[in-house]
Amino acid sequence: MNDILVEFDKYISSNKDVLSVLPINTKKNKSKYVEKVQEFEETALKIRKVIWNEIQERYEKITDILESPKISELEKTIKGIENIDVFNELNTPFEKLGFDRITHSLNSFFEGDLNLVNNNIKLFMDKFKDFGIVLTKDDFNYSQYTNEYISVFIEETANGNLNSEKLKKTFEKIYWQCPDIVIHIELNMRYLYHINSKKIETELNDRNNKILASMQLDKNGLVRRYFELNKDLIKAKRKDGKAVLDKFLNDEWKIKDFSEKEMSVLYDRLLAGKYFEASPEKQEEINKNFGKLLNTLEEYSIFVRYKYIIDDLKNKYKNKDSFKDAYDKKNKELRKKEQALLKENKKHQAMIKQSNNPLFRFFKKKLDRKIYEFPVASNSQIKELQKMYLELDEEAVNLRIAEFVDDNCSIKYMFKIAISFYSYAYKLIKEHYEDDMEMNVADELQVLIDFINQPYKVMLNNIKLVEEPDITSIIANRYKILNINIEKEHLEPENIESLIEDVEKIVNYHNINRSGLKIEDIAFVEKMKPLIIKNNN
Amino acid sequence: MEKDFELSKLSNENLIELYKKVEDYIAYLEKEKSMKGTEE
Repeated sequence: MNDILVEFDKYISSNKDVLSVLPINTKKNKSKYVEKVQEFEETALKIRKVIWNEIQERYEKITDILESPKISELEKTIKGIENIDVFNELNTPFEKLGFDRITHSLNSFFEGDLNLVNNNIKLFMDKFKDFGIVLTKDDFNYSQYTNEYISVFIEETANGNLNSEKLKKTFEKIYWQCPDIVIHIELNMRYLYHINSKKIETELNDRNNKILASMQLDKNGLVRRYFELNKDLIKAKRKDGKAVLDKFLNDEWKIKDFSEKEMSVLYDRLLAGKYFEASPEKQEEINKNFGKLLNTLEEYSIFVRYKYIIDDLKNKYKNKDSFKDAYDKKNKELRKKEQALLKENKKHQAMIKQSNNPLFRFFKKKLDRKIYEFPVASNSQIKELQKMYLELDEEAVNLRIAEFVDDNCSIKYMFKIAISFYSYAYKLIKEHYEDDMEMNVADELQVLIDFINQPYKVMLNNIKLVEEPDITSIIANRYKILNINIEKEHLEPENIESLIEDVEKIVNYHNINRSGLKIEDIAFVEKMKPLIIKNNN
Repeated sequence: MEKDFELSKLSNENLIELYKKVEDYIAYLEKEKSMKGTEE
């Protein structure tokens, strides 16, 4: 035991001895005893204060750690590349600029969520404004209802408030007349995009070219740079001292789980060879291999989780020859029907004017009848157009497959096609989990989007669409060569999560050791944190 | 007693242990105080 601890034990012991020989047979003696105890206590409290100050000082010193400046530099540079989605060659500005998410959101409208509708309208109009197109109520002429609602919307939201009573009441009133009002708004938006698409596309291309010129890169170079920067960011974050310490301070990690004993057991199980007996160079190599294994396992896990999307795309690929003209054909049909609707709308407006004109009083009854019947007929046309737009979305995905997919495409590329069309991927996920009421489809889709937009997709980049490889054997054999004990069975659905957990722990352990933090400092902070918090409250 | 402590030389673990000892000691003294103080 340390000298100071021994001394302190002696000190306490000696004071206890002093107390033990004091008489306590009379009231007076007891009083003197208590006085002595009080005296000892006062000294003890002073000692405790000194010790506590030392603890606090050390705690503050260890936790006073800043994130590596490299991280914020990288984040800034990545942000400076703006939205990498605008460089996606697989989709159109409609998807690149997020218009598809807006229309998808409106398409999934459930009664009562007016905030969602209004936020999407505002977002839509802001995006147009960003491209120099200021939309007015006259642009929302898909139906009398869109015109009526947007007129009030523009007025009421001029000051930025999307929640006015008048707006709510207008929506309620229109909703009773036309429960499909949100569909009308959605299609009106799609139409507005269609008639302005050339302008938006040209402007977006100009902006993209300017970005590329300013970075002195071509598109592929930019995308490569983006992934390299993200790789560097991931590496920097993994071994950042502050990030590592925060894991312990947030109770995500416990230091006892990373003891040499525990890690030894884990390494012995997964590695052919003794980790702690290896040279530092060998240990570095071993940890690098575990890092690669973790990436592979994560890729495989995503592949299994979203395989149904690849299967759907594979099915489409089989019929790709029939897709080439389908999009244009469908688009032509849709535009024809749309023009017919807009023509009818104009006629309807003219009829209203005539009905109010005394010159047409002899035809007023007939006109009023037609005016009365119009909304139902118009709504029926709009519902048909909605169906056609959904079919057109499907054809857009098919067209991409016809244009871009061949036997040599990788699984990663196929996932990229899927996430390039939000509604398509959303629909597949929703259908796959239709019996699961707890599933949050948007979150599930976002996991895939985030995964595909990050680097380190070695395996998925190398498996071709037409191959049907025995992936679990490939993984097991690949890593056995690197002396990692892994069998096909470990990759079965019921076992893989546990394997990922184990490998993650090894990777985390390696990152803790690379972070520059001392294990005993982490243990100290972990232990003292509750007391520090208690003391500060 | 305070002067004898060179706390900065203590390891983290020993510092925590020392703190625990002084806490236990104070608890003991408070117990003595309350027991002997109330006894008739």
